Amino acid sequence: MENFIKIAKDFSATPGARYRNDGRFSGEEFYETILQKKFESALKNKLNLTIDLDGTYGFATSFLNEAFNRLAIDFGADTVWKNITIISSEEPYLIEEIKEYIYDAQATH
Amino acid sequence: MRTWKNKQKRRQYQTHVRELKSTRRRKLWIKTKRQKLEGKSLKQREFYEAKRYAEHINAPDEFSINRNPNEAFKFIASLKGYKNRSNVKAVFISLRKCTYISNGAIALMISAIKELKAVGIKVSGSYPLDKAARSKLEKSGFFNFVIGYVSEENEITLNTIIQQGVDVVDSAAVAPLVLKAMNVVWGQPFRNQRLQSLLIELMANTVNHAFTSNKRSNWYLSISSDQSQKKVSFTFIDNGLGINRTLNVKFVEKIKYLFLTSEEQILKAAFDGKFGSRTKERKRGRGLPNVKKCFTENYISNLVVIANNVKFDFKSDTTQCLQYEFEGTCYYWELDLNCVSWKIL
Repeated sequence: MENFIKIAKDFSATPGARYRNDGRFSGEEFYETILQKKFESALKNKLNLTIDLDGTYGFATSFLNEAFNRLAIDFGADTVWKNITIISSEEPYLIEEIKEYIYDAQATH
Repeated sequence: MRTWKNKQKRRQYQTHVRELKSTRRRKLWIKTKRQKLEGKSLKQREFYEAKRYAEHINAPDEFSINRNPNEAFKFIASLKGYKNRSNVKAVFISLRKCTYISNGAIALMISAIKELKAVGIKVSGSYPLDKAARSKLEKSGFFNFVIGYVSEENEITLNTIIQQGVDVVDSAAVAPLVLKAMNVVWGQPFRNQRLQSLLIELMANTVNHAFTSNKRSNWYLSISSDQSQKKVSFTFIDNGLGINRTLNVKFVEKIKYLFLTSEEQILKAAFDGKFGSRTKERKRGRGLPNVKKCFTENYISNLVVIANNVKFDFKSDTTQCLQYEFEGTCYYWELDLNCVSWKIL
């Protein structure tokens, strides 16, 4: 689906850390190869982008921080938060954390 | 006059005999040594040579980070100290008297051995005489890093030590280990997102913060399983600068924390998220608080952190100042049936 990302399937079941330099499957890589493009396309088509976090082996805070912080910097925190839906039934606290990362980008920039 | 001359002659004769004896003894010694080495492999010959000229160091009788931290870190500090001595070309580690050896201590020893090898120092050693200690050493995965004999019964083991270098966070490498650990504790290879997340945080901390720009980062993860007690112990080691030397402590905080309080309290404060990341970006520096969160939310148990000269036991919420500084950070924790169960396949 155009407006759906399942990280475990579309990116990696073992997401890594923040930057590409840190190792494979970083937050930076996820943002640049998948998230940015899919969000841009969803915005264009006036669709809501659903991101499914379930099914992975686990996320580092730095991975999520890098991906969603950059998304908010590029598109604006409100635009991002209004146009994404996050599924995280295995680790529900991650949704609140991601919201923090998004609005923190607004506070810093 | 004659007596004096006789005495002198006698003395000369005695010296001559002594020299002859000594030469004979030396020749005999070389002969026996040659005979001893006959039929031995090149590796064994090299071992004997290395042992002869090496600096000898004894491991503590109870070699454990948890049970005997002072002695364990004293030994590691002495071992690492050889790399700063230009005249030392080989080191021989004697484990003969070890009656107890923990997997964490073994991983620590490997990290020190690697450092010595990196500067060209040859390292060899002896097995513990104690059967249980020897068996633990053989089962630990130690011999994946150094050459040595592993008995057939100890070849198959669930214990492992992995080392990753250089400068890499390898989440894919640790994922199967988490599954194995869950299998030991819960009987099925469930995923455990918190444990995986914890391991990535530690690897990321090592790569991003633990080392100066001119020193490359390495980390070691040792996992040992106790199937009868359904318990898995983890030890994560980095040989970086240690948490206390890498914190982004602001000037005002420095005055507050460095002059008014101790190193122990600084380490505690770091896990409470009181200091930012060394990268100085907002909302960073969450790695250490996340490690603590894993423990407080009972995803892991018995967390102990040793950084520089401080040992922080999270279970008893106590810190202990060690006599010998450890260059780096060492995390120890356990996964057992009392931890929050994750039953997602």
